[in-house]
Amino acid sequence: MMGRLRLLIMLALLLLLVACALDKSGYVPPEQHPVDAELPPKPPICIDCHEARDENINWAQFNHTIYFGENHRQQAYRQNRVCSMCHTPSFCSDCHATRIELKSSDKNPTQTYRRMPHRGDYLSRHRIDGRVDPSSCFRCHGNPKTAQNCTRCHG
Amino acid sequence: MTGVVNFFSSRWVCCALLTIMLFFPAGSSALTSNVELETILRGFARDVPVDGNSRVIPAYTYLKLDLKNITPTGISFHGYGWGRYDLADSGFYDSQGQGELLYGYLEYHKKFSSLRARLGRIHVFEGVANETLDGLWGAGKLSPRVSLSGYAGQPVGLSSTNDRSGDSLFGGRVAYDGGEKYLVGFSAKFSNNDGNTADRMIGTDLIYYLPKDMTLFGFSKFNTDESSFAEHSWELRIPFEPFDIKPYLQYYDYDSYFGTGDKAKLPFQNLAQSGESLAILGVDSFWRKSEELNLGAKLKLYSYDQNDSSQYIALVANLIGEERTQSGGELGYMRGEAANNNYLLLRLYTYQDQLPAKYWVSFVSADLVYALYDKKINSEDSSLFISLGAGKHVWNDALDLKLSGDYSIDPFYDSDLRVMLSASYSFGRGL
Repeated sequence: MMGRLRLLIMLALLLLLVACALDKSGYVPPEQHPVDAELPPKPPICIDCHEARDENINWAQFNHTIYFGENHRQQAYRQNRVCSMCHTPSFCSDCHATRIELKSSDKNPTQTYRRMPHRGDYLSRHRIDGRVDPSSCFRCHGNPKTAQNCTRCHG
Repeated sequence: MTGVVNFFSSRWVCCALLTIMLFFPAGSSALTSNVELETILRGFARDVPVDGNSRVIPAYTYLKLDLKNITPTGISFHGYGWGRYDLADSGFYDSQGQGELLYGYLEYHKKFSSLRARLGRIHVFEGVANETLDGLWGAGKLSPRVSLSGYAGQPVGLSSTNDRSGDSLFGGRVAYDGGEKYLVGFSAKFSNNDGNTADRMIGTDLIYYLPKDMTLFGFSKFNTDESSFAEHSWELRIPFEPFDIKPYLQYYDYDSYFGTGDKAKLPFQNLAQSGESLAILGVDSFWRKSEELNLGAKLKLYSYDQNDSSQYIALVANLIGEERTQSGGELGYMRGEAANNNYLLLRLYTYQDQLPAKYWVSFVSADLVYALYDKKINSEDSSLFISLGAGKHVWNDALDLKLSGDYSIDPFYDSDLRVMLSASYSFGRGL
């Protein structure tokens, strides 16, 4: 098994070397959102400054509307470099890491404006939500380590 | 306490720190560092089994460390983790001390290039992957239109079962950017747990630009072990200033979606053998009435192959003020026929920022969640949750002090009171 893993890592390194050799990047988003256009703390609506889409990025899909907190996975799956222009990985890890004992709404209880899920009596509601759509539970609790919270009751 | 020890003795942390020291040039003037330390003290009461103390007083520490430009060649280090110790030794937790390294990696980032590589504990969130691994990740572009990323290592999520021997994870994504027309990606993820098959997923994702600024987004995921699609998630964004309408369709085949071999655990393991499928048809609509007022409505229709259907409908509102000031709410109704229960949900929240200097605090916050259940749960037909908080930014915002209290009365707790005090300090700012 370890031999196979080594082979895989070498393959990954080889691919990286190919990319390194070719290195034809074209457009590269800046590492950070430009300081001279610093974003306000309020939820950013990207298209207030950017075109809805330019030849590189579809900015409209990153508008932080009232639904963005509960529905941003498609944007992150495809173009998370845009996310990282404003957010450090720790911002994502507070919710999406493999082992977080303190759920984000408990870690940041005063940040009510983020409308974080699992607030209030979610212990009761999750019985209903979980039966209606278990796929949404599985996204975050779908491996043995993250399912440790579930197995206390679900065996 | 073992967990805390494990956290600090994590071989990845040691490797990363050693490598930093090796790479660290003595006269590196471009090095920039950012260290953030957050300490949280919570207090609540719980009935705990055998010789336990009903008072639970966990103290958490979160440490975030970013070292940029460690070398002139663009090496940086990023780390984030937490540790917890129950000061009351209540027995509420499996162990009195616990901790976890959430990520910790060395990054190489070539300037003015998309080429990046990471080594260490990394969270990969792209294509069909939403995984933390100890290993290597790299990304770059083969041409201005073709991008490539790949990763290989050991999955952290599988480390809790029979140690890490035989655990492996690798995958990647290749994407083609069709300019102003479309962007299409293909991704794959393969993992083993203890030498046995876990995930075998391949997928495709797409952005397709339609006339009138409409956009079709989506992805589909295929389980190669089950030889069937696990998930389809597709949405259409229709901008119609000041309205924004987003109809979407999701489909899940339970056998393929939850059927992740040796990775699957209860309660999802049973779902993987249920033969069930779920289709969700929904609409999120949004009216940006002004820069300050946003209104929305959402509808979700759930239908199943075997079960009864369910629906959720909600109205949401959000009032935006200066800085972080916001107030709003959600009123929703779940007709959970599939779950054999319905509920009405009301949520109201406010956050008032930049309070006048005459008040000692910089901000106050409040959150209220009320649920009314159609059928009683543990002899209760409703639950009420109230949270109040306040905080102060001091030393030029380098130090944030926050105090909050939560009260709830619900089917599981007669009268539950929790308090929390937190202090987060950002080194290098203020003073």
